[in-house]
Amino acid sequence: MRANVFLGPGKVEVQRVPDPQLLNARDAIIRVTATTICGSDLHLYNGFMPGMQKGDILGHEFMGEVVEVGKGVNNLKPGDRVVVPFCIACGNCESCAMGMFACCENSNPTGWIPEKLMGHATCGCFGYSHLTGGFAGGQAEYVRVPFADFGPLKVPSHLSDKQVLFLSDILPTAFMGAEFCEINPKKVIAVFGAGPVGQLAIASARALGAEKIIAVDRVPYRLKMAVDKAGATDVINYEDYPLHESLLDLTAGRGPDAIIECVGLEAHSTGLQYVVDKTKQKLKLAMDRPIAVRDAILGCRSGGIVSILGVYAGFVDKFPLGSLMNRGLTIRTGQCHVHRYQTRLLDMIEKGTIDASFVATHEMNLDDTPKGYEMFMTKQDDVQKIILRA
Amino acid sequence: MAVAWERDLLGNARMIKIRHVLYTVGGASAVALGVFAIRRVRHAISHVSPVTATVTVNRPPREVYELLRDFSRLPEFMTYLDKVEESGEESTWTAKLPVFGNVMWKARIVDDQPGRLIAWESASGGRVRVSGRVTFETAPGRDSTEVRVEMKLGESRARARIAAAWAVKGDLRRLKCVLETGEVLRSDASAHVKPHAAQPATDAMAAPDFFIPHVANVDKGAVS
Repeated sequence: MRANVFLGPGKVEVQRVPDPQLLNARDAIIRVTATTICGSDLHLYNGFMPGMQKGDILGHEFMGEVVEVGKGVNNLKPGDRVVVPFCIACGNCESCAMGMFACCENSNPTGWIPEKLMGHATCGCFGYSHLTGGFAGGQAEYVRVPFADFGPLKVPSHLSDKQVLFLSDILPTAFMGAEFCEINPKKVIAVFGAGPVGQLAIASARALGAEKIIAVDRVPYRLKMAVDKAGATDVINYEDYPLHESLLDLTAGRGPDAIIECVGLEAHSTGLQYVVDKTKQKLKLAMDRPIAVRDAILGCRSGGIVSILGVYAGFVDKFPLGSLMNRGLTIRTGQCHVHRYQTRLLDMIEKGTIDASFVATHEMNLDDTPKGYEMFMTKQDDVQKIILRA
Repeated sequence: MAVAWERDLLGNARMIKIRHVLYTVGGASAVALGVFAIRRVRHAISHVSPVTATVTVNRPPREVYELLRDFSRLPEFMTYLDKVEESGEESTWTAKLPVFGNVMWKARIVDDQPGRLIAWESASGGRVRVSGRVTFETAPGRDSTEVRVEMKLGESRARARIAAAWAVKGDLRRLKCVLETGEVLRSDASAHVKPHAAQPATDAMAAPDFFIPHVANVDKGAVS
């Protein structure tokens, strides 16, 4: 089959690789009908995530048609149309029983690697380095899906791919980030980063009843989409206006009640600290650039909530612990527990209370995936989400 | 840079350069430090014994006990264990180790408390001397089990102890996976002995037995 393979920082290629086979009884093989490039794929692409190996198949957001099931899978049959959560969960361990599916204790066979870096193992994910299990990803014609009796969500045929594909990752991720904020109409929510996850976080905050939502980014077309399509009421372009002062200005000095950070470890900002952070990361003195988290902590109102959705890999520098502690902030974060939100969000999509399809701006053939990475990376042609078709 | 004088055997005065003194002192300290470091490392290694490892399994103690007490099933999740045959009091254990090759030893159970504890020791006179115990306790406030393994590996080399500690930890992780999900989960990378990219391989199911635990629940014939 054809698959998009990681060759080294800044280099991916569509290659012919062996077809996947069933390796466990609870496996299914899915023929991928639509997949995407995620913002977090860019962290891999740019070489910021440890544990990548030449030849790894990328991609963790995908949907498709079941072609084969192992004998432990009773709820799926060949021909079923399914959306697959990016995080792999067994449904049997204590974390799964608590609904913390992205902390599954059994889905990461290479769990000893993150144990060294993070103190405990993480769950397994598709196409996301050997830290998360070393599973081949979804930017391919076929994927093997472990614990297929638990993860994949069957989707009805009257909903289009664009409407349901993002149930795999960015929609539940964004929704979880908004849910963390305990939204009610009185609360002012700021969303840092107006990429695909940021857009859907705004849409989710709106669906949960927020009336004032501030979008923060530096790319004009993204801020425009945040207002036109996602439902933001205010925008701040931090390259034109100072971020902190603007947040205070828009909230009459209080600061937003909650901030959803949708940026991650390659954050940008203006000023000297950005240069320092970038240099440190280049020299491998720091793994992440925690700029957006810093700004979110300093900007959030006292007693407020900082919801971190951006991906971080390791240890950070200049973390404003003093502000966090003295002002009684709450931090909520995590890889998305996709399984927790699947049916609820599918229901909302069917009823029309949320629609994620507006973030899909481009469609390409799987063969053009490297071009897609380049395009997403450099934000050409007002790109948000690229859908790849095998 | 003349700073010190001494007399040689014939009584002639001779100059000692401070550089030489510094070299001597420096060299001696380096050797001392080296010796000290080696001793520290040896000390640390010798204290790896006994090998201990723990895991929490989301199943009741009785069930965890039953799987571990059924010695024939241990190779399902114990990486290097090839087979265990029980006959009466004694059991025969065969391991396939990466460097040492096939190793066989006999062991007997010295204490067996269903749902609580299994303790064993190897028969005297064998090449492998190992004794140990595994305990099962209900985890605080829930119906899951805290499994604790403690093993003593005779007078074996430090390397073997470190390898054993590593293997036991992984074995417990896989034991948990078998009990909670039915079998040991494999990934594209983990299904190979050597580092392998996260992409499918035609030989993924043919990986050597000593690395891939036997998968009891999968009918290999059904896999294309």
